[in-house]
Amino acid sequence: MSLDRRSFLRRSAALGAAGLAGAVAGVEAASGDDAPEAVPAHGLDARVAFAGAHQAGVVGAPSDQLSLVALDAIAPSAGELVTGVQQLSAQARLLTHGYRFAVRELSDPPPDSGVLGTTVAPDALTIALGFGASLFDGRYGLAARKPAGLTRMPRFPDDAIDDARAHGDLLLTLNAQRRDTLVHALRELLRPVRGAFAIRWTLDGFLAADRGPSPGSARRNLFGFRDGTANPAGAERERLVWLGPEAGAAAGGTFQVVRTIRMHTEFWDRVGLSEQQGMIGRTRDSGAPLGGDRELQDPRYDLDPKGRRIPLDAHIRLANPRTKATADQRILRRSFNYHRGVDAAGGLDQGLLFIAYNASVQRQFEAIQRRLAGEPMTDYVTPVGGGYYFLPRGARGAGDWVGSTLLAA
Amino acid sequence: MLGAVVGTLGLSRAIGAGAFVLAAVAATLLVAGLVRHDGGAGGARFVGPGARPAAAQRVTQARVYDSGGSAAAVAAAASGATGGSLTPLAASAFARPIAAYRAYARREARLLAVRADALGAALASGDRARARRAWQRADSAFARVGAAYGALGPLGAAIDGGAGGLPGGVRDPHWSGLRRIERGLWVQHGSPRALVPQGRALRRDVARLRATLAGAPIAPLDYATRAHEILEDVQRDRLAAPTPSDAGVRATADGVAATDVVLATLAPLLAGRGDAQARSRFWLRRLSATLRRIRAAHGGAYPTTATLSRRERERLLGQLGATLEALRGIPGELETQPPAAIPRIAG
Repeated sequence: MSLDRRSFLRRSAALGAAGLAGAVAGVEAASGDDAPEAVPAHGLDARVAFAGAHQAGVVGAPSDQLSLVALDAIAPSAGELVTGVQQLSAQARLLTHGYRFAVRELSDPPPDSGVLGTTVAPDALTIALGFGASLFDGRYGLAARKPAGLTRMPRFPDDAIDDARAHGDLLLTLNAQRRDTLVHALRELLRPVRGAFAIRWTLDGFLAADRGPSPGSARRNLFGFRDGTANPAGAERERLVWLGPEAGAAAGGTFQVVRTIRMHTEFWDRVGLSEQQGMIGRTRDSGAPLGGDRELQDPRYDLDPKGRRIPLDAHIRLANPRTKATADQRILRRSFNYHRGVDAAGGLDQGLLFIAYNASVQRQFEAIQRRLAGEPMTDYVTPVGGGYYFLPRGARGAGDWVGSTLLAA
Repeated sequence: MLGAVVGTLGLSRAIGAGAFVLAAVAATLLVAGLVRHDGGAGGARFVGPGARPAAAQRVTQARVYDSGGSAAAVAAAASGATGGSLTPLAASAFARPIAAYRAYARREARLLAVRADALGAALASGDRARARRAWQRADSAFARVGAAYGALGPLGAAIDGGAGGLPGGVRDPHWSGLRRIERGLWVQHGSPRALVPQGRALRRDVARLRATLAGAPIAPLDYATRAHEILEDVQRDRLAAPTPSDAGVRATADGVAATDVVLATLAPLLAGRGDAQARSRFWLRRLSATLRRIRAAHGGAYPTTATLSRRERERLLGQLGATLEALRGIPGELETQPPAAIPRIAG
């Protein structure tokens, strides 16, 4: 047994039987089908169940803060790799549940960084674990277990993908209401697995605040437009996102598409509003399709075949033509904004952390992406990173771990 | 000069109890609902709440602070704010400027053809220093054509040659064009002779350029936006990531030169329509002076962006940003038609 493993167990014991005092307001309900897309601000004790048929943090209403952490496996053997994944899963379960800790041995490093004090509240934290295609290469003998349809994200036209900001063997998607919760969670997640995984890239995202006008209004991206308005909901969403029983070991999972899309925001701010709106196809203020008044209004492309109202190459029209033939290509978008300083030209390095979930990357995301090739907005954005990942089903019970269906010997 | 610019920009005035409007002079109309297509005898007009006669209409954008008012009140304040009036230009007014630019671009393309030949010969000689100089001259000529933002379609992309969209990225065997040769000459260590096939492809593409420049239609709006898109291109493609050659700083100088040409052809149309031209020229001159100083400080050659001092880099990038902010006013002053009214969703 490795040292890492031993210290992990000791820490777990110290933290064990934690749990917060007082009533914990469950927000499991908020991840159900009929939940509003925008969660009202919760207290620190809001908790999202870690275990379940699907991993948390996919269809549930997102919290405002996000961290993506891509890891490369460096474990020297398949056994140590599996142990590492088990440790990540166990840590994630602990952190999303919340705990209290006490320091018993003053001469030892404390069992927790203490960044959040001695009471680690769940803060609606979700930690989803995804696997990249590269994990299933020859290194660990997992090739035969690769979920069908999982590939390395290809380069699309106009991409400028930097491999140092893309791909990776694993991707952790951390989502919570507060930034310090994520920073703490990441530190604690990685402590026991340093010998198994190395960080490949990370990116922090945030959701625009809910500024109305209604609770269902999609949040704005950094172009000032609402993003995520036309997301599928209810049973349709379940069908479009999750793999069914026919997928075998992959059942209950979903494919996650991540695209780090740099937005040239200063350039965008120098563009006339009518041109901006024509590129998107929506009114900037209300989010209504051009010619409409309400955000959720049907754009009625059938009444506008020549694109007099909404240009034929407008983003919303290409992305979702709303035809029978394209209905099963729809995806669940869970995008966030990012801001990470300045580029070499002194420009603000801001953009969209596009995240989408779908049951088939080929049938859904890639079909949409092909239609969007060369859209007018291309001049104002540059995809610089991201990747494809498979999120297996959620952990079953207390003894199970995320990925067991795929990786267990 | 600067005094005048600042004077018109800093305009603010009270329009009521606690309300202030900051008006950006002669900007395009941004307050939704203020433009309607009025199909009467007078044709298209700008109209707004509390409209005065069309001839006196002010077109502006506004921010209202502390008004506590509704969106409609903000719109009303905007319509009353000081701004320049816009009479749409006839599309035919652009014929002469576009023809003048076309003639210029074809001259530059001819120069590029000569320089691409020289580059081919330099690559074949195997002399890296000579090949680098030849590449810089060819790259400069292409930048000065001023064909921003896909104006030349696939041919422009082939000559310039970004690797981003290729399946193999910078290792893609089919990558060619000026960027490919730049990488070969500055980043890779093989003989320049290995780049002879790329040099040949470049000459072939460049040979087609003049015909494309002569034939490609240029719409008035596209030409007006080119005034700022040339330097937008430079900022995005040459400066946002470090380039191994001098392409970052030199391309800025080339972009300024091409923008100067475009602006000069548009000068007769811009006269009397606002101050975007004056502001643009002011910043272009200041940026040019900065580029000259940088060049002089680096032994008479443009340095790579990595070797700029902090002060040089901050001045260069900041002034480029200010130049772009000034240039963005140009298309708005050159509108040939008010934005078309968007039909309502029926049913």
